[in-house]
Amino acid sequence: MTTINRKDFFTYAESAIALCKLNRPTTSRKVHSEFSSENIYNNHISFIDVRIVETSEEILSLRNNQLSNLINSKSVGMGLRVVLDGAWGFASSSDLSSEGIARTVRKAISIAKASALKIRERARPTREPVHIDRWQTPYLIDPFKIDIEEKLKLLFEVESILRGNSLDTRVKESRVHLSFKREHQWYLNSEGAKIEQEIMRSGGGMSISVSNGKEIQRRSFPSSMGQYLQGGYEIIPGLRLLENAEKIREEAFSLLSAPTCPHGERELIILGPQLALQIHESIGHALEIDRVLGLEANFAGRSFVDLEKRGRFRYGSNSLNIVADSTIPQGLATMGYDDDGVRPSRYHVIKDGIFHNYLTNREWAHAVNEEHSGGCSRADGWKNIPIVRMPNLNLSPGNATLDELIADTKDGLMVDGVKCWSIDQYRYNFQFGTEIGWLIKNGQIISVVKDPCYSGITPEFWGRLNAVCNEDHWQLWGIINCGKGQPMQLAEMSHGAAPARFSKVQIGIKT
Amino acid sequence: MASPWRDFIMLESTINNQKKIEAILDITHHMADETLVYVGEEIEELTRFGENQITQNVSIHSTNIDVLLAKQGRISTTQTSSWDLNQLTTQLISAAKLLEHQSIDPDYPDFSLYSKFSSNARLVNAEGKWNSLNERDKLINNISNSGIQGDILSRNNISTNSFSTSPSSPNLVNNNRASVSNISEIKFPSTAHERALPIISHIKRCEKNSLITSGIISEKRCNFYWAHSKGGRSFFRDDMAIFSATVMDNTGAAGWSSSNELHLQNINTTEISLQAIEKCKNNKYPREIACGEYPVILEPSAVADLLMFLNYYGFATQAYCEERSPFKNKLGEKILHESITIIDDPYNKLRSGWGQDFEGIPRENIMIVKNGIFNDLPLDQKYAQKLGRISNGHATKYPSTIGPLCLNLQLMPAITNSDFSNSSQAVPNLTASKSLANISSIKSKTEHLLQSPTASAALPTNSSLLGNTSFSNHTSLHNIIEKSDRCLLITHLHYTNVINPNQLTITGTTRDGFYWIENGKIVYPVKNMRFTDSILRILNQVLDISSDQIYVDADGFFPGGVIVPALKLAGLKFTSKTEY
Repeated sequence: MTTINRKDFFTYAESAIALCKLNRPTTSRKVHSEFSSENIYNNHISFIDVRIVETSEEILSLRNNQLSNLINSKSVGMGLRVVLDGAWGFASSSDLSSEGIARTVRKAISIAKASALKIRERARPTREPVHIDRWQTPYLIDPFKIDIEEKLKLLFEVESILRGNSLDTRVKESRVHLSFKREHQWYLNSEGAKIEQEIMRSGGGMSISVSNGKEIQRRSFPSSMGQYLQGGYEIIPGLRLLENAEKIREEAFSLLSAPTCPHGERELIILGPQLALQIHESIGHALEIDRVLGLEANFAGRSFVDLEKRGRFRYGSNSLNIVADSTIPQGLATMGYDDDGVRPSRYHVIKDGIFHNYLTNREWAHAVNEEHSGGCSRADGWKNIPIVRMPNLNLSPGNATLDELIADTKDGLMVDGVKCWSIDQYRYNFQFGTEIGWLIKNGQIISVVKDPCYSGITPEFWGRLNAVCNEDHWQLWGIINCGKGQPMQLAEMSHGAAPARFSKVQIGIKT
Repeated sequence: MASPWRDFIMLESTINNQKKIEAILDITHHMADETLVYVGEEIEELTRFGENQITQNVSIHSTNIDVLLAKQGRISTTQTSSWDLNQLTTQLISAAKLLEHQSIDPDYPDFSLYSKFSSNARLVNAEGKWNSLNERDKLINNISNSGIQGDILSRNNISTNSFSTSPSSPNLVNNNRASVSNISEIKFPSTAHERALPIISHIKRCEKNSLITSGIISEKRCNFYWAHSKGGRSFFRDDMAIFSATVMDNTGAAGWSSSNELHLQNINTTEISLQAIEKCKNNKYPREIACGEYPVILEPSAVADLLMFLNYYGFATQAYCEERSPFKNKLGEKILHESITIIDDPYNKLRSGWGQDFEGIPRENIMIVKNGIFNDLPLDQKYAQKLGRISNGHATKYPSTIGPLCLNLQLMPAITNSDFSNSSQAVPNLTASKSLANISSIKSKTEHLLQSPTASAALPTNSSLLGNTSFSNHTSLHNIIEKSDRCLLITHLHYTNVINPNQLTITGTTRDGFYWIENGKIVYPVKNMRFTDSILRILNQVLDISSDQIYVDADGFFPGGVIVPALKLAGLKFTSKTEY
């Protein structure tokens, strides 16, 4: 495949910036003169940034032992922001011709002019260091250079184990997939930033749906939609798909004869993938500054974490320590710079149970009296405007082993596998369903239960966190389907977690 | 004022895209036995507002070119956003090399079936070439001017499902929702300035009332091109405009209203603004009620959530055939209340869809649920063969991991035999949709009923009310409320999700307008609650259904949207409370 080279990136982005500023040379005289003739914006534009992004993606999927999908895609385009008369405008296009860039610039400017008709205060992005840099995901093996045959061979082997005896009619659906994505970004802004980044992520997973003729049950591995990490093809053997296929199938079968999860209050042990989602939904989104400010109220909703809560609100027990970290190796939100050109840092958002920091970008950090952005600005590809996005948010490990945690539990439920998530528009009242549960009595796992679920109120729930397993159990769990914004954007991030236990949690559904 | 060059550019780009698609077909001529090119071009202009100011304002122009190569049942695909022929050629060569390593797909569809279909709904260029937009628009306008409704024309012809001798030249399917409107009046897109004006008016209105608002105005145009190397050519344009507003006061009371139309000029933004404000004002100081089961009236936006999950979990043919659907083996059996009929109607006047599926087969109207009976399934060629039938044109993009799906569902009141034509596959006479009031009129009637809290605390009820079920032919949401006593009214739902697929149990919360009704009037607002209940259970206990239906967009969570009425249900189980 052809790729955009470094020179092209410069050319596209610099010509766009030049067109906006008019006082810089442009690579296209024709387009330049076109804008010069309008010559009305010259002194009103205070900020411009341009992102050129080229995304390559390969997805291979098997379903019921047949190749069901082989996606090989490439997407290239440009997104451009301007601040004109104190208001933001954004336009994007995949047309990178001179005329296409000119149209996009013209559009962004006209949009910013319209935005300026109704702003409460002029945009004041935080002052940040200007970076000229290149960053890339460290990886060993470029997954796009691995033969398709090798990838398919692995998938068919996993699928064969996963399905087991081909005559077993209880197996209704099996799925196995591998997914690879490379995002080559080029960021320039009118302050002088020039940043090139290459982000590579690899992942995969499997699931099996079984039925006894009365009901259907599903198990997945490593997580409901698969596990993804930044890195190359070396990630794939680490997923241990072959080693876990049989176990997952047997767990699925066990659900067909398992009793339904009981209803009532119990201790709850949540394993990694589900705990990652719990962090994501009830902490991550709740702390995004745009939600806190009410800017997402019409769609995704607001946050119960209002502007009064910083530094004093008890979000959870002393065991709750959440760290924002887009520097951690292999995290899906790990990057050299965010889409505002800000170098991310590592900081506590919740320390010893007390809430300390919102997740901010350059646009809105001032709203909480921050001098600098929290490095949480990201856009979905080239075509979307950067918005506030949670970074990798990690629950710090505790001291226990999982065996110790179970042994220390008198009357509890342990759950795994994301199945259903729902949380209200203030990120306050939630209910989650998982694929499988195990009842624990007096320190022993006594039985599997089907259709487990639990519900709670966010600060009460985290207030009941009484143990987190140690770093031997801790790992990053990748989320690739986080939807937010209008138009809807998808973002990827990881949440590090080890199994954790909560007391007095409402489990099951009252029938 | 809109600049005239916009439409010109649009027209040019459309024609140019058609030429480029022909070029791709030429390039791949020697690479594969067959080539299918599918292109989606999307232009979206969206202005967001929040905290009484414009906060985000974007213009997005994107293209996705999807090429499928096939050789003796082996397939390979590639996608790109760029029309750059050099890059495309490189990708196509890579894709062609992969063909040799693929296994044969026994379910590879016959894309050449396309040319065997004949329908007057297709406006075939006599020269067998792509029609230009202006030629096509003239034809559509001629039809409109002749007094024949585009959707009826399409439906009547396609429902005959006849195969006839195909013309040797490529056909052009023209299924353009714009055909229902007067093309000459359509302006797309509005300028950012034009979008800002109704937002500013709405914000000023809120500010006068000391309220805070957020929302969007959006216009979107999608041009779809489908071209197969053996002759099929199709173009479909899909336009959509949305105005959605949430209004809040300093106590946290919220109100919401929204409208989806083909074009922005069809939306009465003032009316939506006033409704959201009124909802908010009347949502002040909500009362807490006990968890339990209550009779509920669901406004159309809330009903939409139920129907979308019903579609993806219940009516998906692949899941049905693999015994993963809660409706497995239940074709012909009663699955929902007898007052409910669900059709998939790509030609609905309110919201039409593409006139063909991804395999090139014309999409038929199908009746999924007839008066509560599970009546039919969406089919593509693969599942039609498995079930011994002919495809009814519901293939999703091949290769598909989800199988055939309904993309234009409509939930409507029960139908009588006289609603049917002679064909069992034909759709009913859609009197309901013809007499539609839009969401504005439905909601405006609701707003007037809001009163100060006077009633005593509510007590949970049960489904014994079912015995009193009665349905009239022309029932609005307003009528349903007037006839109701001691029940809840839900404006819309938040973050619904399936917690148990076997019973289709979903959970979610109420938001932006949750009220208690007594003696036919809304008497006080209620604090939002979480519900957890089986869609199958609650849709078997329907007390009333409005004859008015509106289109509700899926907000990106599902493809497309649905056309839905308001419903009154005997019971919905509320399982927990929230402070907000």
